[in-house]
Amino acid sequence: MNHQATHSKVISHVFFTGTAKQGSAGPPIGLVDIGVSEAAYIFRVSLPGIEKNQNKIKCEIQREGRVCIQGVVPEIAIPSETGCLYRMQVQQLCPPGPFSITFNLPGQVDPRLFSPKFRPDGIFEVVVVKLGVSIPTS
Amino acid sequence: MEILHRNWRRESITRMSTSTPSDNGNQPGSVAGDFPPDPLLASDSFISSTTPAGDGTLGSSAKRRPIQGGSGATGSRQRARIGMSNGTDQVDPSPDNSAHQAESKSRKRAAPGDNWLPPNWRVEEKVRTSGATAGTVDKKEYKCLEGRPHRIDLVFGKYCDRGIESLYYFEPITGRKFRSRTEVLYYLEHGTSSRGSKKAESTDLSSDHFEGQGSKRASRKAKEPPPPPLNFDFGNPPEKVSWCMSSTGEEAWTPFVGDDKVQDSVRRDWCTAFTAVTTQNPSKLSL
Repeated sequence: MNHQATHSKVISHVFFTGTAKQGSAGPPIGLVDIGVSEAAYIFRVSLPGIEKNQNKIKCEIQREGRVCIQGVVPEIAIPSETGCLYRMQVQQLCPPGPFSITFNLPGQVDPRLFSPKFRPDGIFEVVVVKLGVSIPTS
Repeated sequence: MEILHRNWRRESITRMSTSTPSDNGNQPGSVAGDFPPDPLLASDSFISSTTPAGDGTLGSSAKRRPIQGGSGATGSRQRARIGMSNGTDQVDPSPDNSAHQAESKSRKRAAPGDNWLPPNWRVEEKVRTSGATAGTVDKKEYKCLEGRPHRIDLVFGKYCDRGIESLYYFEPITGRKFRSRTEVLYYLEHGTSSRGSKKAESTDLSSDHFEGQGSKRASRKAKEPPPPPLNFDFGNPPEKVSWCMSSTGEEAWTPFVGDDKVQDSVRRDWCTAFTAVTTQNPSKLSL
């Protein structure tokens, strides 16, 4: 009985289809994929809802392979006709505010050879060269 | 001489004789002693081939009167001759070398006879000192003491395609070529050629057409600088680099080592190294 009562109170207005239905209930911030090539690592971090020109994003990279991404999730506010701001009640998306994502790459890297790219689809993509990789001098 | 600048001095001259040896010089196979007209030499101031090289310098210079283009019928004819030098109407096959040799014997230095130039210009000759053609005047340099353009060269050249030797004036900076004093004076006053067609003529003369005049038209091909060596020490990476994205404009990342912003030049070296590593075949550094 108790379970049925609770269920009747919460009526979902969000529906998922496809891959969104199979996985988690929304695109969270900070999903990371890491790829490895012979010379470099590539990692892709999902940063949805973060506009690259309005929120200062900082990415620290250490020689030991530790990556720390810092940023701010903006607050969505819609102005009304009377001048009031309607603030979005976040239920499933990442709430506004600062965040940081930290993870380790599989090996050491050269933090100078770092190629960040904030793609317009909300994916932060970085190629960083492994430590000890050089170019042939011959 | 309406084309003279009003600040330039115009020297009026009087023609002392109308019968000149150069009147006969247009005939092929002219006998020795007849010289083709030199555009810089007054028609009545020809130099005898028997004039000694040393003593005749001052004498012939003194005898030479200043000439001015367009001041008489002879001057006009000389201009016409130069103007025809590229055409097929040129019937004078006598090489100008005979005139050059003759005048080089007598004129070893600045000729006061080139008074058609503005007063702030002087003329210098370059005479060959060696070889079979020693003594031949290679060119005359008309140097402007002030103002622009700074120099006009008179180059004795040959059009190989037509087998006709001709004289022309040559502005070494732009490579512009003038066929007559009229064009030179027009250029000196206006800073441009009188006609657009003259501009094209400056390019139709390849260096092959010169006969060792020490042309100033040496090709000035812009050499591409070799790529600078990669200034990047792969062996000493810093412990940590913070990359910050600018909050405005295009996506740009600025690296910081500690609290110090990495200089742009160093940043470019980093980018070059990154491109080199990711595009070339990388090799493992023995650490």
